[in-house]
Amino acid sequence: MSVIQLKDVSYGYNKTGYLFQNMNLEVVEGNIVGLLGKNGAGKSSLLRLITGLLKIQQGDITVLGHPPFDRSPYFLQKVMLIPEEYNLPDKTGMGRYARSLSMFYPNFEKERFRSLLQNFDLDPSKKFGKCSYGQRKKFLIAFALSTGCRLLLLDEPTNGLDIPSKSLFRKMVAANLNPDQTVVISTHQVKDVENLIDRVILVDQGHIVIDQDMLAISDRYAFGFSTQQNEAWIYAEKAQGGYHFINELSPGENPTQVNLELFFNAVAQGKISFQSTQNQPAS
Amino acid sequence: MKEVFDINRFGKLLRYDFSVNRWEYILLFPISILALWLVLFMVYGNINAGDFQASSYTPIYFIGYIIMGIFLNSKSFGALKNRTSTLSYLTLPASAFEKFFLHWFLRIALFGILYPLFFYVGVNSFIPIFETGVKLYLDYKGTTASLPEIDYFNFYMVRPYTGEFFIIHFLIYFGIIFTFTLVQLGSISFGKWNLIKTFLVLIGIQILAYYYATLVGGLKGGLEELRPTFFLDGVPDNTTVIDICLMAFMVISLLICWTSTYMKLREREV
Repeated sequence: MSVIQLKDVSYGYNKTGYLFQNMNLEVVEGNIVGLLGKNGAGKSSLLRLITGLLKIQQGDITVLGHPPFDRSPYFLQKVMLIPEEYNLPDKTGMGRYARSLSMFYPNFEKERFRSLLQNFDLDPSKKFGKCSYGQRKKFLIAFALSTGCRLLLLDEPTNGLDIPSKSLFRKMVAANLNPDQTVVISTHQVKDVENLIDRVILVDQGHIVIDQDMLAISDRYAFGFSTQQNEAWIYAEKAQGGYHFINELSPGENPTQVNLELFFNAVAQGKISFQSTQNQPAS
Repeated sequence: MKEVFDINRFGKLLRYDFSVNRWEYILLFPISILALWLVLFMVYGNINAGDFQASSYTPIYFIGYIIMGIFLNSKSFGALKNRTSTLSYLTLPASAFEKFFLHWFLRIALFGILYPLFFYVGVNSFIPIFETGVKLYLDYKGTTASLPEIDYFNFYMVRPYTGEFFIIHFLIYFGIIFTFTLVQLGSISFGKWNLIKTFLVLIGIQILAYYYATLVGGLKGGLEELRPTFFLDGVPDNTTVIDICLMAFMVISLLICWTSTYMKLREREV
């Protein structure tokens, strides 16, 4: 079932130029999608179009069967966006705020929320004004995972999290998702999500340059490390003591784990290109 | 229809609003009471308190109503003042109409009901305090002056008037609600410094209206003579067609202002 569907969508902040032009995209139920791209590539704007915070200028957009910009309450209770920057009331405690907000989400699971707060080492009585940026973010992630929403959109979710919390974030997301839930994670910190996502969408200058399953990438490319440079590699980056490289996967060779950062850089430099079925570049 | 307005969801929105802004709501009452006491202290101290009748409260009542209402309505849609809170507010699962209606309900309708009660409590609780204070002061000074007699406030003078000339009372209340609505529209349109910007726009509108009225008056001096053929009880005899048209125009303008505020919220992007 299609959760997000964009057909020839165009959007721009001013009339002189489009950020997205004739963009096509389909995300199906149950996907965990990594939306990757450089700063300013349009990742956050795409998330805001999907949430109905921005209005498309041309084309059609449907999210969970709703036109998002109508911002119907039935749509909003099925979609949860955690933006990179957010506002929480300083004088309110986490527990109190969660109680007042959870009323809007019919599938909210209190027990799950309590357990997630515990896992994230958060005190529900603590007021937001006394919480660090990372603690506030962990609260939002815990809340979002407890809402039972059908579509979860996370914009740079690991920004501001310490190293143990990043690992915990991956575990919590993986452990608390239902099969009918879809997640889109927008980030430029690709290392933080490469073990979590099952599909990758690369956005560059307002276009989707790659839209592939992680399995398809690992079936086609081999990722490795070598002390010796090899001219046959598709792409390589010098690292401490050798080179990280990408090569075509030979027949019979076992697939390797995708090094998403390396893959991202290779795509950004034009060394790898997939035939995208979902995107039509701007004319 | 439930997508636009659902009483359950509206109740949740009210509870959410109170949870997030509870300190503002809780502090509003005691701070306003203290401000009212200060005003009353100055008024009672500067007049011949013995002559202070219940009717003397009317200007204080209406000035307080307008100032407090303007203040409250200038704080409307506070969540839309910055980008991050706008984002949270717009994604809150309630309809744009419910979010608009919440502000209208709290800051215009509920305020209109609670303000008389607040004024009643504020004034009538201050009088014994003031009298005790004056008595203690006079005892301290050793003066044997008689205590001032101050009338307690009652709702009689500010009740909606249904008798002759009810239209004047209607226009006063209508004008106040219209002002609050404009302030609310200014709040959602201007963001920062909304109150100042709204007043500048209002001054501009008044200047335009003045010149327009002068122009109309100049073109048709005898327009005042046009009288409606019907007369209602409570409508002054000298009411002209222009007055009635102006009232109709104001009612339409009020509806346009409410619609504009709602549409501004509905079409908001972030």
